Amino acid sequence: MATVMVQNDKALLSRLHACHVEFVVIGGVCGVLHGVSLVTQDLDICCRLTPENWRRIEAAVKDLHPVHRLTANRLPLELTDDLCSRLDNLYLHTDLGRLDCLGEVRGIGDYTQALNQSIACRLSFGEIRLLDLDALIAAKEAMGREHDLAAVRQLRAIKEKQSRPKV
Amino acid sequence: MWERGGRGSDADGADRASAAWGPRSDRFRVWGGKGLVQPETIIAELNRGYVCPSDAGPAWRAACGYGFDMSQVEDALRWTPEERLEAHQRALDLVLEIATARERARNGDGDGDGAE
Repeated sequence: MATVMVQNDKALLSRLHACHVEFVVIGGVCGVLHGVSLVTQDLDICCRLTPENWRRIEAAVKDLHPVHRLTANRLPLELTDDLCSRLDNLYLHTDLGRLDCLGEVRGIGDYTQALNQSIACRLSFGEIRLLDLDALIAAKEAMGREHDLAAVRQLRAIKEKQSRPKV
Repeated sequence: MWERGGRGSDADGADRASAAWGPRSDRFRVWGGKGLVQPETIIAELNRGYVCPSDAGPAWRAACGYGFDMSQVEDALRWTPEERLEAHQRALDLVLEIATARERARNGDGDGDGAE
């Protein structure tokens, strides 16, 4: 039987925010929040690599049947102290969709550098941080995949429009 | 608002075309009225799709030239981030619904949706 595919980015973001996860939204959803019209099928965040932050992420999704989606047997998310101290990334599948938690963004750097190049974004459940336009363009160019470069075209157009004086 | 066999100026035509997409149902009744002839300017506008604004910068033109319907980006830039996220969610739900239906068809486990 086919699985019904679900991806609810707002609900995932709301949970991360409620659990005080330290994160910056990157990737396609970041582009969407800036105004890009392309559809993206996962939520990518850059997060601080501390055991406490991994535990917050685990708490945010623990009732959503989280599994490591890129492991052969889709192992359930069960963090230990040892694992928390050695993790660089988490690629999860949950009942609310895919959530990729990265310790580093290509073209930008680690969480601190991503945070330094982020802007605040107020949503109904609270304020989150996302890469600013220049940083997102740099990250997407560094990724260099076809769909990243397509998004860059829109991001550059958005940047140009926003930097022009309004008549 | 609409007249039989009307031939408005470009500006008139643009106004009427915009009005035709509005929420008032009487506009659609007039639009679909028997024997009414639509102005050529509106027909042309309906057929031509998105036109890059004359004051667009090089990056905007490049995105248009790449083939993006930049009217979607124009709309998104008028919205709040929350509205952008919600619009994206609606589009994503449709994409995932189609992907799920495809997978069901491939697995031969259709539940009868649309097949009866």
